[in-house]
Amino acid sequence: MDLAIRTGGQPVKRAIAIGVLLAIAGAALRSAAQERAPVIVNAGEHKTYRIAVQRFADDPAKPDARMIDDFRAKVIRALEFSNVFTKIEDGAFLGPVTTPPGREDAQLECPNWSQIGADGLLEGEVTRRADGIGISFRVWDPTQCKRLIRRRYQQSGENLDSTARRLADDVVEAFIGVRGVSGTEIAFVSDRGGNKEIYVMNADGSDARAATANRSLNNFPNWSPDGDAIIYTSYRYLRRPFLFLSSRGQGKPGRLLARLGDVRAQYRGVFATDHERMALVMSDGEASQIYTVGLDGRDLRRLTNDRAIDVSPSFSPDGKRIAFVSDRTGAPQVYIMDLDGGNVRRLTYDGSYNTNPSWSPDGLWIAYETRVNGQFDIWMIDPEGVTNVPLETNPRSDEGPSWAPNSRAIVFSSTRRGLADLYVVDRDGSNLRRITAAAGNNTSPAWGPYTR
Amino acid sequence: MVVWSVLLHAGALGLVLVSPHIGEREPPRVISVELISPNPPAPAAAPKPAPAPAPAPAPAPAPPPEAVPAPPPPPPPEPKQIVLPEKSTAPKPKEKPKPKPEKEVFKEPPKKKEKSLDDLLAEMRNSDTTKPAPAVAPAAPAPPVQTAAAPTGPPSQGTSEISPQEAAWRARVRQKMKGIWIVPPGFRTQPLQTLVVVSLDGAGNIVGEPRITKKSGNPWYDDGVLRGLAKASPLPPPPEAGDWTLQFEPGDSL
Repeated sequence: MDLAIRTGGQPVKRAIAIGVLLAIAGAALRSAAQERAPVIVNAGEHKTYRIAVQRFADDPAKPDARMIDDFRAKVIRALEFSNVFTKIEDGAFLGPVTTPPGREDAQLECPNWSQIGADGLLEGEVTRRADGIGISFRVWDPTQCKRLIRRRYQQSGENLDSTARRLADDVVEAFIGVRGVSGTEIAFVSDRGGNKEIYVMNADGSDARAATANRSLNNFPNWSPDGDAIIYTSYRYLRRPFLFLSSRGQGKPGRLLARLGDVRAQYRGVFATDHERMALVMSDGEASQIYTVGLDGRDLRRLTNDRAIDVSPSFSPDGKRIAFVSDRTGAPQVYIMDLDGGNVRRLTYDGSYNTNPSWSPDGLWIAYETRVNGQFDIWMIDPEGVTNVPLETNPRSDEGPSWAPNSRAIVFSSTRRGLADLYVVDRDGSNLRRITAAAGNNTSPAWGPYTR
Repeated sequence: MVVWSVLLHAGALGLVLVSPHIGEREPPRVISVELISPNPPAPAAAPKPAPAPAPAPAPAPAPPPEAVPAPPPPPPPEPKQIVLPEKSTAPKPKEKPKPKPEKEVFKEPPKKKEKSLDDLLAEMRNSDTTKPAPAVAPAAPAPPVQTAAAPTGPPSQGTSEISPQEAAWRARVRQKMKGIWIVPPGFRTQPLQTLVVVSLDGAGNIVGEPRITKKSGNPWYDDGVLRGLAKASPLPPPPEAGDWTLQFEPGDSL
């Protein structure tokens, strides 16, 4: 208004006044329209995006149809393992099954794909060179007609298996913002060969390989943060439990912590998040206690100090706390303590037998076993102990939970088929999948980290 | 003993880092060369999910040891193989501490299942709605307004009163969206909420682009909402053409 007065003219002032009035009225109308209560929409049954995966264009110079088909099948398998996607059958395609040439920078004919209900389309090319294979691909959202990612991999060697899983994990990330885990691995214990040895397999259960073959008794594998090594407990020396390292990286395979001598049994070693230290359980025949120590055996620190049995350490993802199990009240329960052993707090109060805690990589949950009628169920509880929910309550025994590196799923062992097998289940309890099928018992799974 | 002391020395990590590893190399490595990643939806300043940790490793010239097709090489041959009888005789690690003989008696009451996942979800939802919920008027009853009976009533009553006709339309929209909107499992346990304004013509067609007026904080969730809306047009014909707000929440209502 000041402005109007200074410019003098009455008409100006009136015009401004009218304008202000109109604006107020308009705003009132508009806000009235917007103040209508929102229509609340909740999720329905549909949990997986439908994706059309094209057969990648082959290199015209060196075509290899079998490799292209095999690659596609592996990508689809990994996409479906994520539980984020369902594939659309070729028969439903309106567009081409194979990516046509020259698509690298071209816009997609979105209606071809949106009309068949595709939430996603994957297209790409394979090029072969003297030094390896190049894979380039794009992921589209046909419904909004936009490209979500565009990427290119280059690999040496002919085997496209891990590339297929990696590609699928990238596609998962493009849709949900969390990387898929088909490219990760799970270590576990199996007696399929007669003795309990450590094995490693892909997270979907494929390609199991032995990591130990010492014909002794091996147990409790645990991955290094970089995924290059596994600590495990073995009875191969003196027929008593000590810790060993299996490595495919810099670490020297063999016995760990020999510096600590042979008097006290060692077991259940778990890497600290810094890759410099570990937590473990040691016992001199009486109570088992929890310690931390450098991987070289130096700087041993005792964290628990009581007459009870303290076992099963599991680090929080920030490495500052340790969940563990103690029977100090007379029955095994899950506790949390600081890295220096202070600030001990009991976490579980339900049930008379709780053990095997596993802290999720996102820090939100601790999965553990609880005994019910002589069998174990898997529950999860938040680190404050506020929320405690069942995850697997099959009447047979479900044991040894370990989290996927994206915190979206858990692997565990179950005797529901008789012998123990490994299963993967999503954090919300859905999408249970058995991932071992070999004879023998498969137990004590440890889901490895992302490696890259 | 001698053997082990040798291992002990070799095991010192510092040493190991320097000394070349004798183990066999894994077969094929995959190397990421280049990637162009138009980040998906613009990462909103979000509380939890870190916005797209640009999965872009810079063009890596050096082949990083890659997600490995090869198992960790088996540990070196044993000095002496000790074959242990399985299970029974071997002193099993005390991983499952046997509570002494019959300590079980004094225990807490037998496991009472605490909360079901549904309860939990309900809880999360409630606690969430109490926080940021933008004046969520009860979509249901409210005494039917007499004036609102006319299909072409005044542009808007500006109140939270909802006619039976509008309530029925809302139910139909909810139903339709439920059948179309895809919510991956990971989103269902999170208190996410996205508000979108859509312009509807008289037939329910979505006119123009839906506009997000409140982001959930998770750009991928928001994008999934838009993906759902892109497949939803036309919605059931609204009581009146114009702007309508849809509020997308995972989890079942009530």
